[in-house]
Amino acid sequence: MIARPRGAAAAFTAEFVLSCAAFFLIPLFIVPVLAGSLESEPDLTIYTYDTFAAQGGLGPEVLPLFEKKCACRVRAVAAGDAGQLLTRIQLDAERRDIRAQLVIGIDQQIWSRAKPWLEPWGKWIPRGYVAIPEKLRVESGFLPIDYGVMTLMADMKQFREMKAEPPASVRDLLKPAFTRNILLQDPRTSTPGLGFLLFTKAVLGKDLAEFWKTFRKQWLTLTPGWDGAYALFLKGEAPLVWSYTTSQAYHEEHGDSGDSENRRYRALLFREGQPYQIEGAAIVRNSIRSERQRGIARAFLEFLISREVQARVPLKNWMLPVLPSVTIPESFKRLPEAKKLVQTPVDPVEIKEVLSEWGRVISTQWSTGGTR
Amino acid sequence: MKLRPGWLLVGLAASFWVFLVAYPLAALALRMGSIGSLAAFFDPEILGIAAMTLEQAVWSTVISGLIGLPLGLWIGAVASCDSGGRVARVSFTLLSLPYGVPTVVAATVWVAVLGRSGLVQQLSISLLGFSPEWTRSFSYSLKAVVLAHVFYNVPWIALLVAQARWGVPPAQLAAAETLGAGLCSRTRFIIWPQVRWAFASAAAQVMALCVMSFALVLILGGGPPVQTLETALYARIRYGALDVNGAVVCAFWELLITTLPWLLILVAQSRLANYSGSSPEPGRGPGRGPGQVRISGALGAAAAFFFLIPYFSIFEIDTLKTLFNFEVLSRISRPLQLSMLIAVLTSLGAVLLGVLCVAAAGFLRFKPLFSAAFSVLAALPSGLSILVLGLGFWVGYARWLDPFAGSLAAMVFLQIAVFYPVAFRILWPVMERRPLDLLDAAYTMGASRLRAFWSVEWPLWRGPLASAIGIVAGASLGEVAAVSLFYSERLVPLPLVISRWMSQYQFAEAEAVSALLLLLSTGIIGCVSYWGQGGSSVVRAR
Amino acid sequence: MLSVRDNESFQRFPKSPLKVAALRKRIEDFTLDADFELAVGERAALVGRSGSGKTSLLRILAGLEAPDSGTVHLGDENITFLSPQRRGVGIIFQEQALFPALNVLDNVTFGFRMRGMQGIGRDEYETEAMLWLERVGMKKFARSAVGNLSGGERQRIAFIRALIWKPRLMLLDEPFSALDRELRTNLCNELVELHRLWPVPMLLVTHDELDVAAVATSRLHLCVAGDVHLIRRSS
Repeated sequence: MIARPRGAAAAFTAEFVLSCAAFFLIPLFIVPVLAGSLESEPDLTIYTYDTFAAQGGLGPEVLPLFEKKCACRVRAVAAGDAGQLLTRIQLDAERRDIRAQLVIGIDQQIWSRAKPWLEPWGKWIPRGYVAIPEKLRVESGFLPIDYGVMTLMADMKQFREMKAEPPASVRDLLKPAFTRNILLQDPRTSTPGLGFLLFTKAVLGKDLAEFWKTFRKQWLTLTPGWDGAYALFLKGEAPLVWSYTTSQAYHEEHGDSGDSENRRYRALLFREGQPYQIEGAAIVRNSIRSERQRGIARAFLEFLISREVQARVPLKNWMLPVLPSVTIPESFKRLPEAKKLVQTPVDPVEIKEVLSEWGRVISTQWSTGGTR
Repeated sequence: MKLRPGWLLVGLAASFWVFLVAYPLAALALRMGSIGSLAAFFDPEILGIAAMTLEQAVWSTVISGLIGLPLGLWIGAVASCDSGGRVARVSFTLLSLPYGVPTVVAATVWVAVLGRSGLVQQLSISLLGFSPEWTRSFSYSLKAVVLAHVFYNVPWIALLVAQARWGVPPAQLAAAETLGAGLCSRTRFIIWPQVRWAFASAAAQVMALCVMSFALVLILGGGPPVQTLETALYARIRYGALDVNGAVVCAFWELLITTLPWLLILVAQSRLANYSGSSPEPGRGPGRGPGQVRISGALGAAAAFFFLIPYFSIFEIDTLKTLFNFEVLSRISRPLQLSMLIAVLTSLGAVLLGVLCVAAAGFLRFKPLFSAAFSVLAALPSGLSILVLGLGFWVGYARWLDPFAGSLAAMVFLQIAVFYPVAFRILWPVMERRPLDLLDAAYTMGASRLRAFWSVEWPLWRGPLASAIGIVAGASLGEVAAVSLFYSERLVPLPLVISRWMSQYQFAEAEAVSALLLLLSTGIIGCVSYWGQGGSSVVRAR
Repeated sequence: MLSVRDNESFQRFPKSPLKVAALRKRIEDFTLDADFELAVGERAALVGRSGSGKTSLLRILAGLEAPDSGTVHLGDENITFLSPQRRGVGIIFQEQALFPALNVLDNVTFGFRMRGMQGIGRDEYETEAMLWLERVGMKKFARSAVGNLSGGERQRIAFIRALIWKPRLMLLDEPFSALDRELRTNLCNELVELHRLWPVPMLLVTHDELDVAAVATSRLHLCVAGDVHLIRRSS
């Protein structure tokens, strides 16, 4: 039980603590803030996704090359994934404190929502842009850098053990053989996940709700991002995972057989075609502070679609380069070619409606015996 | 009029509290108010998520309580025996270890145990020749989430109950026995009244934590409808069209749901104070021989150890080989240094702020109105999700801090805000039992204030201070939410390296880093719990 | 007479003499060796330095610890290995050991509730308890929390609690050590008065010779012979 504080002891303790607190606590709070503000401003700041800027990614390899070319300083700020990039540029605009001039890593779906915050090119066309195939050019203002074909990756070792055939169409996924055998990403938090949802919308149209009501029982789990799902796939949790065809190339480069019959990890193709994701870069609206900076930003965009960078895309980003003249590794040449690349909805209003409908269908499965 | 130092203390503590807690929450509240439409708060999807949040939290809490209570009573009874001291200390340490397990690591562990290729399946196949359907459907379901929560939380409940049981004076139990009371009567009339508020406090904390559960639900839940408001909040601020309003609505419901257990914690803490007059004594409990006590103690320790077994699954030979690879070590050295720096800054800041709050609370102790308000507000962060508070930082401080270019300050401040109640609860009992008589005796013998403090008070403070620093540091190492909100390319702490490497197909390396993180955070907490004097009064805020 | 009923109505155990024969117990670095008898109504004091085994002796007699060898008899009954609940021994601790979750009246009647007095209802034993409380001037505190009582008041409640259900042996482990001189004197006198109401063998462990003089009718002697601590009657 606390004794009533008597003058001397209480006062001493109070003074002592006050001194300690002031002595240590205030500098402790100030130092981290100051540490952040001591660095000088670079010539160009880029918002990009994590793996681009991370050690081992494309960024650390190509940025120094560009800095040498332009005799300038470039800083890459990692922002998570494509969705988080959009969050950043939105909030920067809201705060009227736009820090980055370029954003790298938005895809064609994010682009349609991000347009209000991005700067159109006007009359300027990046050098090399016309060499990019038409199907990969989204719109003026969006510079494609790489693309990936989304698909299901299959662990053929598990399929051989199951004595089952992998699915060949979207509706095949509803078969009992695939119950709790599919790893997916949450479309609300993952670009590939959203890609799959929009792909089913594009392919199934009005049957979307019916499909997902049944499909709800088929997935093993929804992970927040691609990495979580793929980690589970590699652990052998399920024989199917939603990923990119280039994942097959990754495994081939890391020891999997190149023979299509004997390889363990195979990219599957649907009869209906495959959705695809085009990753690109754009200039952030109201971010350019000088003509010199605009020049550097444009030069960097052109640099991104130069052979120097495009040649590195396959083995750094594990995506396909947009420049068709670039030589790709053998493992990439052996990737299955989609019969059809399916255009998924890009209108933000439509995407929001699809997500809402999906959310309603999935949540009501609680009472209809969905997996709990 | 001369301003008393005590009011300056209160003012300083209040200032930090406003900076770390009140302003971010006010920013959130303003944002909530600006939503305009009441219907937004009653969105059917969000209400469904809130119902699921409550359901999984209630199941987890009830089951954890049913197991944790008897386990805690058992271990506490051993601790209160003369010859039970050392083995009880081991049990207390084992019970405190799960607190240091990072949730992202815990999710990985449970996949390794419950998953298709996990230990349970492999055991079934080797013992039975096949794998029963129920074991396959168990993983990635509400049941898996509840099981993971139970393994996380039973040790916590058992620890707090054991500490309370240890505090029951053995003489009371001996007196009851001589008055004819059997085990049930002694439990009902003597033990339970002195343990129930500790149990209520622990259960309320567990409930709040389950409501705020994130990584475990995300990975093990199998997707909707097994999801929580925390995951829904995360989805709305970390992806897509930045639905801050939606995130704020999720935060609103989460705050509402955690308010009840948080209020219960406050009530329980005040009731606990009625029984916390003296430290536990290694008293002479009712007649059990030393051998009997040691066997009981060993069984209790074995039961405590049982809840750690799943976490060993992360330590495979290949994982350890990968971890001790020079290239991997060199790549993680900078993130490791950053994580250590954040842990040191957080622990020092949280403990200093805790000391300040303790001193201020001591000053206010005899001004009931101020004291009540101060206690409630100081404990507020213990009922908040770090994601909710982080959202408040995001909304409130974006003008001054740049969370998107990475902010060490924001990471540290956010963690300090969440962890300082932990330090407060470890240090407050020390303040309550200040030996004023001894200090007065020292002064009358000619000691200066500093000398008196150093000789008399400092020995009582140093153990709990070290414990508080160690526990906050250990928890900070494994904390993911704060660092994931405010990291940048130059500020990538160790927990984020895991997801980074996974995104680059480096799954083996990511697992190795998970193992390292687990060793560091639980190791620090284990050491502090075993050797620290204040480890016995750890109260978890998160 | 204290009670409205005959004393025997609340009595479960007969008054019996205590006989401790060749009782031995190894405690840390010494062996406790006790051999003595106490008659009905006798109040014996045991004085010795701290850590000499006095409390251990009381705990063995109360059944809270088992001896290594020897016997304890109350009358003809060998109670050496009988459980504390069935032994009928009352013990008062230095720190009173009142139950904080129960009020004063519930503390006092605890022994009745636990032993399930045949044919005696709650009202009756509460009435008995109130009479005892009135005897020591504590009736107005019947519904009070024990935490609100002073040291002397708590000790009075501890006395009543131990005696009210008529134990056949009373053990007191330094019951007055935390009290001032005046209070000690008063409580010693009250203890003697209460013991007269139910004169069973009583063993008082104390450091204070004034307590011995005020309460005891005889002494036990503790002497140290090497690593053996002998407890015998004083000659």
